[in-house]
Amino acid sequence: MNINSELELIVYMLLSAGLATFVITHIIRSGFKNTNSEIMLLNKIVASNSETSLKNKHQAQYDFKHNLIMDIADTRLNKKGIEQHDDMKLHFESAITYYKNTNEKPIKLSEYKKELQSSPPIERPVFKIVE
Amino acid sequence: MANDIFELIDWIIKALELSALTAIVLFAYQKISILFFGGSKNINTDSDIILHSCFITALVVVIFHFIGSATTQYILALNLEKMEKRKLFYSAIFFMELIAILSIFTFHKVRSCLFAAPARLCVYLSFAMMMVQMLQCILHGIFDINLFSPVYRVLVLGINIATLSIISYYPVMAYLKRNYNEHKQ
Repeated sequence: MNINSELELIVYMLLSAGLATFVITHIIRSGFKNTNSEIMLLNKIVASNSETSLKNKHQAQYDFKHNLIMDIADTRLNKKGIEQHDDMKLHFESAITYYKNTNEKPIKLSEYKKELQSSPPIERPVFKIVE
Repeated sequence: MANDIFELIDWIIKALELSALTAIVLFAYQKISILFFGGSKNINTDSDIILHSCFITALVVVIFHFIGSATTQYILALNLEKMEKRKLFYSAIFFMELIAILSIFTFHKVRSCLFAAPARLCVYLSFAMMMVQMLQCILHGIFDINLFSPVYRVLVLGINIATLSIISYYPVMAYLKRNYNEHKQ
């Protein structure tokens, strides 16, 4: 092998590395794009009930953000503590915005955290015997 | 001696990767035909995406690891000049890693399947392996510098172990989840 062929090999390797970088960039971009499109869809939600339309819209946004952020927090939670984590800060901010928009009284942070950890009670239908 | 140890570890990694692939297939035994021949219409939920993505990744990783080992053994047995053999050896692994990345990408695109975290991480690790092979090819294969060789061995082993742990993620999680659900019931 002479110098030219060695140079050719390096050039081909660099081109291949460029191709791999392009593929990886595409993978990263496609991942982010999907998440964004889901968030964008939330702006188009129109509630059938006009009285609760604002509440429903914010509830949908809140639910989506809540699930997304809880997923991230589950995997990236570190020793800083749950409320110190950047994602959790965003989550609590979105919760505060939600309560502000729906004119509901914000609940205490400690109570809210307990609420997050415990599953909601199941509403059972009450049947009455009619004679 | 060191070569024997590295070869033994490589075989253990290959066996464990094959076990992980078998475990994925066994955990989804009700959907085996969909797993191998399914299309975009079979991928509807998030769990479908994770299952198909992990399966594609594990399949490509296992196939290319076995082909790569066989090819490198064949190259080492060739009657070539020392430097030419080195160049052929490192460049073969380099281009095989590139084909592995393209295969993972193409299989996902053919099925219109999104990339789950294990698939993405495997692609990044394959890219890291490409870079390591390219560096070693230039230093060891072209300039005959042995300075990087000990680091190269450790890096290759580390990347292989990381890849193994990533493709084992799905079967391990599926097993733990199943145990948890059974315990809950």
